[in-house]
Amino acid sequence: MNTLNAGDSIITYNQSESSLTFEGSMRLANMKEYDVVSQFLKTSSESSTDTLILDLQPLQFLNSSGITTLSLFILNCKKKGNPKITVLGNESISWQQKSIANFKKLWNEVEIKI
Amino acid sequence: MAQYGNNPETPNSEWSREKEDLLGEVHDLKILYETVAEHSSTIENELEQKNQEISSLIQQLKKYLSPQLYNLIVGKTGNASLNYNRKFLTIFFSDIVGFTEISDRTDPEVLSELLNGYLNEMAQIAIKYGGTIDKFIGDALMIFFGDPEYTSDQKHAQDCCQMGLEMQSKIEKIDQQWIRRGIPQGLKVRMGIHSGYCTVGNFGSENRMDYTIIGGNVNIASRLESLAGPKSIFISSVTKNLLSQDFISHFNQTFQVKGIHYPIEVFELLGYKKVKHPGTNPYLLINRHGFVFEKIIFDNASSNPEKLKQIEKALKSLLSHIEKYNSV
Repeated sequence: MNTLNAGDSIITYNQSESSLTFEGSMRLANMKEYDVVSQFLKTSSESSTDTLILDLQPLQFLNSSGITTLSLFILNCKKKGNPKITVLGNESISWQQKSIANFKKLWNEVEIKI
Repeated sequence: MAQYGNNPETPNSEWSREKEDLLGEVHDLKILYETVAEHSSTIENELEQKNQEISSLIQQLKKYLSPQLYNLIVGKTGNASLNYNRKFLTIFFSDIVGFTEISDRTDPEVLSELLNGYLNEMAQIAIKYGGTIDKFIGDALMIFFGDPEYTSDQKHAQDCCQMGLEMQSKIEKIDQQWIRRGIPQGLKVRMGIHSGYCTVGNFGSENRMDYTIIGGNVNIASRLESLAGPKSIFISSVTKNLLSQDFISHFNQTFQVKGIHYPIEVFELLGYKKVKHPGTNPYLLINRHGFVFEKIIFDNASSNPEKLKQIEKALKSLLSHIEKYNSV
């Protein structure tokens, strides 16, 4: 398992389950600071063959730069056509109720489970 | 002439593909923009909701702090730390006479209702005069003037004394209520006021701190309170010297405090001449010790009918008071 500490949050990539789990509160200051997250997502997706699970359930907070980073990642996967994305959300966290559904607008093949 | 229209490799079809790709990207960017905007709105709305919750909590916090301290914490620094400094303050103590006996004989529910009612009235008067309510110690009250807001030593002493006088006046009314509620001795309060340098600040631990004052002068104010009789206010000569001539006081005793080399002169505060509420005569002040009659300078040419009326009224009240005294 690979992990990345991004401020007050941790991203864990589990290759055997092909999942990326986001925990804590992602509040890096700007897009430049999110470069390291983008790179981690890219590397993880390259070793995922079929479907990649983005588990956002333990993610309490995600700022605007963070949602932009995730959205650009999904658009990039869409462009390449793989891996397919499944997003796991938590309906008790208010930002997830609205924002996660928008990932499907970005790429129709994204599966949302909330 | 070359025919490009139907050939998939022609520039036209390449342009069409590029155009399609670009339109696709624009579409994605539009959705991305909407996603980010909606996400931001959600966070902003949540922030606003949290702000409202904080405001509501701060409003509740207001009940437990003096307005000055509340403003200091909420408005300016946003932080209270364990620091302290020396300041010249006027310190006030009050205590209910015979409270232990009252509490032994009174139903706890009735007692807590009456005590809270009394303390609430006192706190409102303290706030009106700008006092910092340091603490309620059971039935006792500790208030000081001069921090966190400083005006002048004289103003603090005068505000504190006026506060004490207004409290005693209010207590006379509450006294009757207490008697009606089954407390035969009613409500009688002793008060002590002293001015001097104290150490003021936050004392305690990082997790639990009290904004309070410490020092020898605090002890003197407390001692003055315990020396005072029921319904009286004892002030030190230091406080007395800060008061204007409108305050009436008379010498009561001297007392020696442990650790202080000189004896402290004690005065009983009797009243304030220029009471602003209507109906009070500026020439005559009657209190439980007797009366104070002001020197009257009457000039036929300059004195107006209103002044004449007030002098006449003061003289009548004075004669009636003397008659009543003689008949006892």
